Amino acid sequence: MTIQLFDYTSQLAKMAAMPRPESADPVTAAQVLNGGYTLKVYPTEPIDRVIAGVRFVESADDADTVLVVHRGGAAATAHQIEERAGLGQRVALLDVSAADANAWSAEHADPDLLPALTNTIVYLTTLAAWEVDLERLLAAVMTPMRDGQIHRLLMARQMVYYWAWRGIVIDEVRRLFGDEIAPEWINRAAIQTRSRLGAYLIKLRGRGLRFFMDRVEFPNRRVDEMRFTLVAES
Amino acid sequence: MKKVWTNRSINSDVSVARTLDASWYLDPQVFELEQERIFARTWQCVARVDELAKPGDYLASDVVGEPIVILRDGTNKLRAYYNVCPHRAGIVARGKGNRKSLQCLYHGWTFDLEGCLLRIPGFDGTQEFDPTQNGLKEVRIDTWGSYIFVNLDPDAAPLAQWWGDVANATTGLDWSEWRLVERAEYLIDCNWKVYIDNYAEGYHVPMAHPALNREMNLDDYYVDTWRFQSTQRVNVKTGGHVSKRRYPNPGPNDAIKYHVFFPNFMIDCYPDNISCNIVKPITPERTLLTFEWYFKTDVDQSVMDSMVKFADEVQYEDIEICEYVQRGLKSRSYDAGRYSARHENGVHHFHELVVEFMNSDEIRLDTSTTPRENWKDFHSSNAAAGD
Ligand code: FES
Ligand SMILES: [Fe+2]
Repeated sequence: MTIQLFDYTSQLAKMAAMPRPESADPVTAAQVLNGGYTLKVYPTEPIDRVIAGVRFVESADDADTVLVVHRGGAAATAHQIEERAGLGQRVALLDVSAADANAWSAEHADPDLLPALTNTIVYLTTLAAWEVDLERLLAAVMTPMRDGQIHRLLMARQMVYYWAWRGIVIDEVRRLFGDEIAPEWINRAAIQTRSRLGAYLIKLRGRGLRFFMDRVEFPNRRVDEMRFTLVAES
Repeated sequence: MKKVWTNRSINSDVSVARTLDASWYLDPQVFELEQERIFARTWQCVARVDELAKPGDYLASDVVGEPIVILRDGTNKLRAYYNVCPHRAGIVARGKGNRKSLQCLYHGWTFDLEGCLLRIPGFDGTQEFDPTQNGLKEVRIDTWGSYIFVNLDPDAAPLAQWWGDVANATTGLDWSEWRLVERAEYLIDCNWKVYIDNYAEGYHVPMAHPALNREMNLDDYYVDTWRFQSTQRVNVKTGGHVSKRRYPNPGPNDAIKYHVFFPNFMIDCYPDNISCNIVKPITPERTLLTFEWYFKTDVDQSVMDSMVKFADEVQYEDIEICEYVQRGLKSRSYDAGRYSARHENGVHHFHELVVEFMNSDEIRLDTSTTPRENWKDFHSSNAAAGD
């Protein structure tokens, strides 16, 4: 099976160098990022879409990755993931809990998933991917998981960004500063963002994701364009 | 070169004392020692009582880097254990939930909620093994108000003797009247003591908190101290320009109070809301702060929202200051400072306790509810003498 031979570090570098796919459609984006590499994925429920670069298979035993489909009920999803990981299977997560099940994107992520998953016994590092965005999901699924600091960094970033920032903290920053931050408040908004997101990172420490917030920036002073970097705990 | 930490004592007279040396806020060795000598010997808040409502509810946490599990046993009694299996040190509980027994995630030893070993798979052939000697090791647990505390010191006095009586008398809180409405955590880039030093005085309010300053008058601001507690009290301002104030028409007893319970639990009391702050050191220069807001049961949502926004503003003003101070403490230009005798006796009191815990093995209790220093009387008699 070719996946073992797959050098994911160099691949990640390549992916990073790749231009962002123009299309907002995550499936198209995934197709680009997947670079033609076929993955065998066993979805826990039938998925009635053809996804280029992915072959859905009938049994978890034949699959590189089990794709757990989340339709709501965070505790049950967390339990499923725990069971799969217990069987030694790689797990990826697809969140389709939003009312519009076709909206496979991060904005529609279920905020209950974060607390539910941090309460499972699965170390996050044993999950193949912990993702709500199909584009990123497949990028992560391609990698032979387990250790690898770069992968942990990717996961920590995604969790902090999608669940903590988009789900919670962005509204708190808007509450104080509006959508566009006045120049004199940029520093304060960055402190707010860093201290609040930093607290979410503390929750992930016990699970092998040991990072602190480093820099927070607001390009064009726009709250929704917030960018941040993480540093590994020394 | 920066001095290494040298404080063996803090002068007990605030008017001549120097503050803690800067290295106390920076040095990883001081940090390690504090964990042992302060945090492992004092009551540490781990949860709210309502998080463990029913028998079997449990929650895994950590105190001083020690894994702990707290739970409600079959008889509804709260208990705490080291979350460490006596077999080969596996972990017996993770996250939170409800269970009839605890099972080690490593080889499956099972314990009842009273900590006794219930089942040991495949241990046949092992000799001289007494299951009754292989239960979970208990940790002291106690409650105050809406909160659960643990203490790693097996000989620690009950919480009521630490600060319970004084705390009840000074806060006068009936916890059943208050409803939790909001919770937030913050990770701040400063030593835990920088945050508490800042919390323990109102001297910075006029400069740092313009909105809060509209509600109070620093001349009227006093700090009282007890054995393990300090309380700042200021009346809500009356008269003047009221339009921008949160409390434009205060009643005669409407005061703002800030209580510090040594070492790391604080309560803000405003006329219409209270909030609890728990300070947890993460590294010498990083601190996790947990804030929980309570309102009286009948307050409507818009009032709560505006209060949370107001509190947020004050919070980030303080965080910004604390982070600047942490950088300042690292400067080669700074070793230690001085206290305002009038306004910073709460900080002085906190520093005295820090130094005492770091240096003495025996910590004496004192349950007296009479303040040790009554600054309001002291300053008003001074003023009278000067007239
Ligand atoms: S005036 Fe107090 S630190 Fe500067
Ligand atoms: Fe303050």
